[in-house]
Amino acid sequence: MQRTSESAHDAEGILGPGFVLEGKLDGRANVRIEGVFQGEIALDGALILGNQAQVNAPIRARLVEVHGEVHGRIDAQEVFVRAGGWVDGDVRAGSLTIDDGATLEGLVETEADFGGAR
Amino acid sequence: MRTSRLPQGAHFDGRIRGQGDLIIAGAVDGPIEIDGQLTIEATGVVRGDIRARSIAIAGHVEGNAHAIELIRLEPGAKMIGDARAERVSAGTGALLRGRIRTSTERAQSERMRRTSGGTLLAPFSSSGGTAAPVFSDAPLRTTTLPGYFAPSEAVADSPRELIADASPVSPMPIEPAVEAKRPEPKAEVVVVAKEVAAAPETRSSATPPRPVMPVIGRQKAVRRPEGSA
Repeated sequence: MQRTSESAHDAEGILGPGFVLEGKLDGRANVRIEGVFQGEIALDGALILGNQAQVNAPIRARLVEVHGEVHGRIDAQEVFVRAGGWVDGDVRAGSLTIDDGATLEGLVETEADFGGAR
Repeated sequence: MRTSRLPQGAHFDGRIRGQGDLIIAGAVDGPIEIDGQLTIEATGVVRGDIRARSIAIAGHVEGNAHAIELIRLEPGAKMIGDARAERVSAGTGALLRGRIRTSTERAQSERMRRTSGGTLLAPFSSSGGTAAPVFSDAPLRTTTLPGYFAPSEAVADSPRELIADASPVSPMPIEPAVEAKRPEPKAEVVVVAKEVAAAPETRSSATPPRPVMPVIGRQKAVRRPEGSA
């Protein structure tokens, strides 16, 4: 949780609804995706998937917050699936929060001391 | 809505397409193709071809850039690749290694028409004038030129006529034709006609669009050892 506030100091990025990315995203940054992403995400930082996001990729990050749609496994220290969010894939997380109105289909594994993304 | 932005520290390996503006402050390996403004900040690095409505580069680009409107290289920018846009500007302190092409397709075809219509000046009329007219419009110009030359009859024999031959060809192919109805000394016509006939010939050997782009490339090249040698 302290990590989260720490990562707030990192640069923040956003990829709008009109964008389509195919490939691998990595590095140390916080990113918000509102568009379409296909490939792989391995971020040292927070990843927020907006409600228009359509992500087809395995995800590793410190924190993942899903408002949109994800196909792929999620590895993160903290995972939030918000109302309207849709996760189709396994989740491995230090903590997992699934809000009312969220959908999660997959195996879930939580560990208290989960290290999150490396 | 906020402008899309790949932040510093982030690295994307793949292909980016999109609608809207995009700012790159991180690193991208792969092509970018958007319909808005693409900005590559000082921390941004792109290895791949980029395409956008307009492009501003303050960081590094390795690849070809193609913008519809403008490519601007800010001081400190470094670009290796060809830049193609309606307008290209490189500020002092910007490095560009590649070709610049500032014409759109439309401008290109317009220029082609213009040059074949006679705007392109024959740089050397010294190419021993075989008087046989190559182009069908050559006779029209023989009638054209005397009218133009009429005032300077006295100078006709001076060496300057070679230069004079080059300039009048340009903007006014029609007006002089009317003037030409005015009877003029025949001898004058013959002299000029010879020069005119030479001009089309050189034009046919030097294909018009060729010299357009390389001019810039060559300027660059001249600064390099080639020029000194």
